[in-house]
Amino acid sequence: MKMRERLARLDYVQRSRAFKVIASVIVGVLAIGAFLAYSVAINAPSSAAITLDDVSPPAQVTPGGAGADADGNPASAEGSRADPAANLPQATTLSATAKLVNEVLSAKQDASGVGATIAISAAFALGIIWLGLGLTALALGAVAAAVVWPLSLFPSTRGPALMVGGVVVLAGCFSVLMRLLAMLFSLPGATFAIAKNVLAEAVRMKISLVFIVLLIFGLAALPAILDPEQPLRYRVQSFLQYATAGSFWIVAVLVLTFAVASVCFEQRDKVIWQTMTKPVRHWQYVLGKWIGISGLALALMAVCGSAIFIFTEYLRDQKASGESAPYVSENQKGVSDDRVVLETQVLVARRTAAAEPPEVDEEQFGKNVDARVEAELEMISQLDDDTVEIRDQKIQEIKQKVAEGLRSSVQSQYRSIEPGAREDYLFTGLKGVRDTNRPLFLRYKVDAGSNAPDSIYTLTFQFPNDYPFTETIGLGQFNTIRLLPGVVDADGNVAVRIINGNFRTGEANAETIMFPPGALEISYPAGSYRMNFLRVMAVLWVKLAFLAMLAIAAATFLSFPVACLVSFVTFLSAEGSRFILSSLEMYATEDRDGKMLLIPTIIAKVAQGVAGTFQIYGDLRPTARLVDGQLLPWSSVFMATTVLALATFALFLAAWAIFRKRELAMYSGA
Amino acid sequence: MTPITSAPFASAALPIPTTPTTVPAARTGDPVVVVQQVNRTFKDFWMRDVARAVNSLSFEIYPREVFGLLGPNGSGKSTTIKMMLGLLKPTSGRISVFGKEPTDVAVKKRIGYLPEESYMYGFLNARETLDYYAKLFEIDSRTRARRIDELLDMIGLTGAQFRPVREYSKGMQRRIGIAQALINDPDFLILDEPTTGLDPIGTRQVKELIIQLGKRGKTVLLSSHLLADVEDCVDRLVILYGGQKRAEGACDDLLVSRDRTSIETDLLDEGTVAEVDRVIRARSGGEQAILKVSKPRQSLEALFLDIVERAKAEQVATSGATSGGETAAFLQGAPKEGEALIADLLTVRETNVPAALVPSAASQPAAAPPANGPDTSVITDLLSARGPDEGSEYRPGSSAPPSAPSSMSSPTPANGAPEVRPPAVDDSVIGSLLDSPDRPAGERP
Repeated sequence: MKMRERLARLDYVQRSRAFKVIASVIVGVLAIGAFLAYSVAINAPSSAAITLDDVSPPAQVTPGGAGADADGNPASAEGSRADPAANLPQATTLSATAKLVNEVLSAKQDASGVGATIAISAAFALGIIWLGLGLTALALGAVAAAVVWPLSLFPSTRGPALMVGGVVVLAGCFSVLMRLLAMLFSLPGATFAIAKNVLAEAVRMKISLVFIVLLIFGLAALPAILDPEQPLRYRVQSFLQYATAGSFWIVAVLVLTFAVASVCFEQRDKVIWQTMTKPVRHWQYVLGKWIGISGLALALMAVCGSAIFIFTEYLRDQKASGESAPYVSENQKGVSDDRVVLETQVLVARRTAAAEPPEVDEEQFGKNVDARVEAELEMISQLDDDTVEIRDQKIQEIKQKVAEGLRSSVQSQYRSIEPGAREDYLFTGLKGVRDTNRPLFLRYKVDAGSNAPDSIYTLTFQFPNDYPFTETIGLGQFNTIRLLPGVVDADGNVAVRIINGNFRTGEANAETIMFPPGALEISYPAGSYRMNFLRVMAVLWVKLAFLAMLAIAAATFLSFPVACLVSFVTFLSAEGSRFILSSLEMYATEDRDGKMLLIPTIIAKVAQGVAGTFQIYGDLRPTARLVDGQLLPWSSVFMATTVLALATFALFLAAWAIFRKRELAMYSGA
Repeated sequence: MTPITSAPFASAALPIPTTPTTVPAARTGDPVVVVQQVNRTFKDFWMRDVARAVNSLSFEIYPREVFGLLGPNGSGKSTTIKMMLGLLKPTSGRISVFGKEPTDVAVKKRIGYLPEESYMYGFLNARETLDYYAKLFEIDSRTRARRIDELLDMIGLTGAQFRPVREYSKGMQRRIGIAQALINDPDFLILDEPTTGLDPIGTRQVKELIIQLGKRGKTVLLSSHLLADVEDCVDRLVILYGGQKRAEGACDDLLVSRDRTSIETDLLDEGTVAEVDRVIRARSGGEQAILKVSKPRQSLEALFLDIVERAKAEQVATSGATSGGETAAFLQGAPKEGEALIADLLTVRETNVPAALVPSAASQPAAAPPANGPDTSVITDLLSARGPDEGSEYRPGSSAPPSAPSSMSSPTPANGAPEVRPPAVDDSVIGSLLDSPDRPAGERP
């Protein structure tokens, strides 16, 4: 009998009611026995250390007992006491037992706490058993004991031991979740039958199993690549970035590939005939596939998310830069900067307010635009040959272009400060922060020239009713200034003046500095990191559910390679929509003479249409927000869920309509 | 025993019963399947006609009959079946199953389908496969478990139920395919090449199963090009070629030889044979004679089965599929008693009659006995013991179902032989059934 068949038989046994009952009884007996034994031990009358003599039979026995004579007089002490010399193995065992009992008694453990621990462990074990994973859990535990424990004994192999242990735990959690899902999908109906079949297919087909194994091993190995010399905040951010993004992308590729394969291969191999000649409606088939694949994605993201969260919390409790021990700075005063940044800007959910550009005098702006247009018209002679309508149209186009250019210039000018000059910035919408009495953070990044890595610039900051102060910074990287809530005025505004130079020495910096878009903002904690993490995972799963329906819809009428191509192109377009839209601002569709270029114009239009379609999807940026400690509010989650749910439903209707019309006995693919 | 084949009687004086006076019970009620002038043309990507798979096909399948759909490769059998199941749509014409469109979900609840190849999920084992398909029929868990156990036992895959289906041999996959077609105890079973890949034992079991299902009142559509398998099972059949119907009718009507008589006796010496030949010549005035004398052969199937049965009795080990067990209990139906049993027995088909009692020219029109003809009382007695005749005259290309004969009279032998009994009653069958309820399946001529 092959291993697979054996495993299938064992799986059948562990899911049988008889096994579950017997195993439950065993677990119950062990739990009760453990608790009783502990209760007896802690309720022993003497609190002194137990000696070997104490565990031997007592010298005096009750009347009528074995050691008493007919009158009830006790037997002699010598006769009734165990002879250590004669019973050496017994003495050794007894001494070990005495030592163990003493350790337990001296631990000052509360009986109720131990009882709760035993109860929880027993409940957990019973849950595993009744999920039909009793033998699986035993096997994983045996693997862990056989492999992890020996490796953990040596410092050089502790890393691999942790990795193997991580793999075992992740695999176990995944098995439990999949079994829970399978139980949930045991509800009556063809839809759930198909969904449950998808789960079985996912863990037995190589095309999906490869990704699952890659994900579990990759996640378990990720901590090993973190540089222990890096500041803790960077380690945490690196781990969050790679783990969250990596998990999402691997699961996304798995979802797309597996969804397409599941539907396409059934049609190609005619397996679908056996299903669709049963009383199964077309929408039930499509919906069942989607539920199964979304369930798989949920299980994987739950496992990955839990692992990422747990390890992040573990990292959080490590020593940060400038600390002698976790949360203890080297100078014994306060906490280190690394710890502060970690706790206030990374492992937090911050809301941000960007600097508002000054209001433009529209009248003056209009005059400036007209003046520029006049200047341009003088340089263009060919308009004289055009008709009045065409001439007016071209003038309007020139005017629009000039206006856009001018506004862009105003923005850039606002963000730029010449050497020695100053600029005032206003941040609004911060009224709620004032009352929370929590610090704010001015977060900024400065570009100047080519952002030479060895360039050091000194900037001066001044807030209302406060002394100015300087900050010496490098170029091209984010810096943070902690602010007290008092900087927020009664209207909820924060005003700051920034000088491009050192006000004390009067020295100006060498070049004009510029704050790129999104690089000058005030942020404040608006929620907990943990809830933010949960929202991020929820949004990631909603995206995966959308991708699943996209792949299924493509697979209902396209062959496997074409459906994969369509699905992946759509996925990449959605993920890159922000980048595409920002790139289009730089993309030239006209030559130097202002003449429209056909191909670039078409490309731009198509790209704009595609990126615009997925703008909401692209603007979510859940991973980036998590890594930067930015808040992903519930409103964004609900909006994203609603929009993606509508898109998913639209794809479902399309898939159903196409699938209904298909003649399944005809296969048009390779 | 020596079969004697002689030329037909010149004057056809033998009083052979006419076609039955009543419509056989198997063909009462609305047709299960109606195929009306159906065409199916396959087109290429540019919508040009490539092949016409089915051409103006019309036939009907009635309740409780085993219907054969025969034809060579590429004759349109599988295409027709796929149209019945909604996997393909007719280019023109109409198909209805249980009076509804083939794509109707309610119809599919009553259908079991075995395709020409077993298209299974390779990653599921046998038990999981049957469980999955049973869930699609929304069968409750207890019934599901019971039926799966019975079916696995019936198809002989209990020992291999935990092996993935992709590791099965073709025959084993075929068996699991048959099981999934039966999981819902269908009213209408469609079997497309069911015996492909099966060993003779499996083939025999499938044939017995089909016959048993037919007896139970199920309607079975059997499509095959293995004629020997079809011949033993079907009541009526259609033969296709090039997508067109070439023949239709009852099996016996189409197969019986109208110009030969076959008589099987114990071993005869040459002298006896010569004497029989002389008698025949004398009676026919020299126009008829013995055409062939030969010794009957045991069929290869019978020999094979005998050897296998002996090996099983000796408990020789095997790693393949074992021979299946009894037909699953839920497929056998509940045992009938009293009035229901009698009613069933009264409508039993002619195919239940032992072979010795079935004449070879059953559908020949009745002919007037010759004025000075030979004494045919013995043969007449033999023929009059035959049950109701389902068949009708052979009408090639006919799309209409065989109709009841217009004449209600029974043939009267000229020599005053006993009148032919009403064809609906067959005491011998009733007697044997009442005496031993567990008649072995597959006892067909």
